[in-house]
Amino acid sequence: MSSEVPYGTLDLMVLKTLAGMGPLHGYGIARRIEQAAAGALALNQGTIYPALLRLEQKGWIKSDWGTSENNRRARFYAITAAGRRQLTKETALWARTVSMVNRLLEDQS
Amino acid sequence: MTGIRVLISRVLDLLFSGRRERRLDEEIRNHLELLADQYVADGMAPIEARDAARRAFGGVEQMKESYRDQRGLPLVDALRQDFRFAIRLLNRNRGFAITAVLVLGIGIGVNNMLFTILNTHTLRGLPMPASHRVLWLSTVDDRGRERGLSFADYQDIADGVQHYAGLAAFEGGPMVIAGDGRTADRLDGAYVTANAFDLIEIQPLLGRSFAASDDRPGAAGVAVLTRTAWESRYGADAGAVGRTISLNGVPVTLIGIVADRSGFPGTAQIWMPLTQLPGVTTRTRDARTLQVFGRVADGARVDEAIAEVTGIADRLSGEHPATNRNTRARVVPINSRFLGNARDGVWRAFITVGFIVVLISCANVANLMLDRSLLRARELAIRASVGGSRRRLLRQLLVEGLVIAAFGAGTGLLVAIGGVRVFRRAIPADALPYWFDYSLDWRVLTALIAVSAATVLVFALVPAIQASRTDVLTVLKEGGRSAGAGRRRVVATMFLAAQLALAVVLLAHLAVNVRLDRSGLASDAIFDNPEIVTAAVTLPPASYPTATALSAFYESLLARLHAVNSQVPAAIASTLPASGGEPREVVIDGKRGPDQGDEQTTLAIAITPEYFRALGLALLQGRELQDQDGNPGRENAIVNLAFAEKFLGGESILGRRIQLGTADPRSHATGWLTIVGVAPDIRQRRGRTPEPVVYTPFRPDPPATAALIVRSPIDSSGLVAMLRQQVQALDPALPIFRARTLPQVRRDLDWNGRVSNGLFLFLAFIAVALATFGLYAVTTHAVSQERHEIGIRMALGARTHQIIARVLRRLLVQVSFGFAAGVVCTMLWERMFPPGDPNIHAADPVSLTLVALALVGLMTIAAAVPSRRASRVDPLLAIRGE
Repeated sequence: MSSEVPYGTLDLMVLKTLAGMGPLHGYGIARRIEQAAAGALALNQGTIYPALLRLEQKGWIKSDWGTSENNRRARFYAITAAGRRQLTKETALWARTVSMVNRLLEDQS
Repeated sequence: MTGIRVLISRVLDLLFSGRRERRLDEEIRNHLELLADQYVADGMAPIEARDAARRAFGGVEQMKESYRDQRGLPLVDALRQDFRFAIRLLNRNRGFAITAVLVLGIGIGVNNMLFTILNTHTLRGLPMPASHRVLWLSTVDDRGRERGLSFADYQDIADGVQHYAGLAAFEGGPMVIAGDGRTADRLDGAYVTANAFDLIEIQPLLGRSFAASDDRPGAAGVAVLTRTAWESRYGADAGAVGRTISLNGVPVTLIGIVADRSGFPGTAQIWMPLTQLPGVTTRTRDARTLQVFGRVADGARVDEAIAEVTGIADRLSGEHPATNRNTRARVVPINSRFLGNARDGVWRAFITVGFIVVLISCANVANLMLDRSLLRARELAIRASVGGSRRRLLRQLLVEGLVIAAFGAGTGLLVAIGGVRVFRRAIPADALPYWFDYSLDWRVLTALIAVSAATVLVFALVPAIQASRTDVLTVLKEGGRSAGAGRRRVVATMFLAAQLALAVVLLAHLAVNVRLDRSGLASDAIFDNPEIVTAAVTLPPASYPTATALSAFYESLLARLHAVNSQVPAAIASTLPASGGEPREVVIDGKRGPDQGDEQTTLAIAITPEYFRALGLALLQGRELQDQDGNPGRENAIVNLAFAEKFLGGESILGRRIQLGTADPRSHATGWLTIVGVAPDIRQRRGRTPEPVVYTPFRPDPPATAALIVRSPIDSSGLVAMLRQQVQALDPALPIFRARTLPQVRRDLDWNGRVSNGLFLFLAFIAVALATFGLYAVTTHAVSQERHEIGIRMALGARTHQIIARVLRRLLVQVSFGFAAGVVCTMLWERMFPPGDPNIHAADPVSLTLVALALVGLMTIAAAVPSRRASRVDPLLAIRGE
């Protein structure tokens, strides 16, 4: 049973993917996230485009035209320096949140 | 930070939304293909793969929507839709749109044109840096008469002040330039203190301006010239700077050239240092002829600076009681001295008219909008019933208004620019001082935008609120025939009455102006006689220091002119007809002196013998002045008819004695003058009943500047050449200037009246055109609303003329309302701004009859089409209902 993408984590996943893999087009990002989730995530691939726009508006990623593996013009996204800083911040925040939630769940059980 | 970034990016998206959309499409297409390729590689059939890819991707349109929501600004997007819709709608109703835009554009344009004129004359300020910190100094005596400062007072005040960057003084006067191998020429000139140019921050274009060392008694003579004078006299030759020329008979060196619009309050084309004005340093303390201005020092407050000067002047009054006891200083911002004040009555009237015109056009457009919103009631009701919120409907209607207002503003700008250009061209080139600049500036554009935006509130908001409030059910049931019609008619009638009232006020004044120009004097014929030629001379004090020297010149000139042709009458006068005159107090022998505060004044004009003959006029009684008049024992004078009637009504006139006060309150009145003749009234100023005039002999005190008058049927250029030749035979360095025929004199002096008449005519025309249009629109609308009723009447046997009478009757009621309101307004107006001629009133029966006739004409024009339409209503069609 694969789950929905938890609210607010798609942006983080996109940033992380771009930080690790270098410039990618939308399809590449979606595929990489699916691979990492190994079937545990039901991703509507289309939803990454609003996320990409959001990140680009904030200046955390930038985009440029390039050529995809099927020899078509494709938009390639890359993380910016501001994006890397944001990624560090959000990763730390995510870790804190997760450990806090974990502690809470363990205490209750 | 991020917030601003996002906003900027969204705004950019808004501007490039098409590109964004295409980019997204391409990305999605590519994405789907890559995904499908992957599935094919995994072993799916191509068609299956494509479907699977779509499923994996999710809803494409949903995604696009959420993408779009993130992009751009939702409210702006919606407004853009509204605008697009409004433009489509107006494009479909082109007749309505063009009418509304034109009517509004005329209103806004006239308003803006009046504002441009107002701005130039009152708000803009003199063209000098920080003109609001430049103050103008003058003195007022105990009778409230304003004069300049004396040299001694100027020096004491300039030395005593601390809140000023400096005080500058100047005295204007004609200067004769010669001694450079060219013909002598007369220029407007001024003597200025050395600091004057620096205070208003004028840099010389060439050479230098005055240094303090130039402005000392005994310094070598120097002069600065304007660019235009330099170009016309020296052909822009840079070698002119440094050349020695003769100014008023004194050798001076040209040291610099400055720009024409030097920001100097005056018409001077050439300047010399003040101390080179002969005798200025030794003048008495009560010779108050200097014009003085000062710039408030940085850091000082304007009110402190004003108080400082009045304080010093009060101290001087104590120290020099003989000359300064009754004199106080008056210090005002230079702008208020040389520009009008927007709070003055005339300008307030101007502003009022400007706003009334724009309101009238708004009222007209509002009527159109109301009509249309009734026609659209069905559409609006349907939109409301399928869930369009009232706010959304209101917004849509307001956006339509905004679109109309925007086009109206554009049209208005064109109307204003054209109008101002015509206005400017109607004024003779040199009549206005250079600082009146009618070009556009930020104030004018701001006013245009503000007024246009405000019109939306007037013409679109009320109809929009009314339309959005309509009851959906009634409208859908009745087809909107009667929705709000009653209230609407009251509003429309009020709008109409207001429009007509303004038209009446303007028409009544137009009638007055026409009648004023018509109420002719017999002597007005001289202003149409091109045989009368005049020219002016100015005798420089260096060459003509005394009254005797002046007299000798004028007499030998007249003798020469007679020698040329004894048939050509020639005379010299201090003031030409239609050119004003010098106001003087007058005392009549054997009559009680004037009560205090109740001065008897007359104009005084000095003339030589043959003055009236030269003008081609005969005296009513007595004789012309003769050569010996003015000599001791023959102190004679001539008065005009108005003088005789005002001061000696019904009494014998010849032989009576009068005494004139002088313009200068210090010196004593003239001796007694005996009246030897009565002259016909000659208009000295426009649009007034003739004023009393005393013609005094030229001899005892001839003016340095005088007008020559000759009359001959030979052509005017020949006469001018002859005058110049005779003047220069006497003094080769003496130019003649302002050579014109008498009709030209009047044209040049009359521009003010002519231009204001023209402006009035234009405003009246606009008001009348708009009112006629309003009448037409309202009547047409009423007829179309009443088709049903008219149909019934016709079916019951009403004749065509009865139907037309019905239409006309309503029109007549509306016009009568308007006329009555207009008469009241005209009377109020006359009370606020008293008429120039006490015998001709805007609200008198003659004027009002003329206006009433004009209104009947308007009514006929406005009624023609609608009443014909009413008479052609087909009863069958009308009763069945559309």
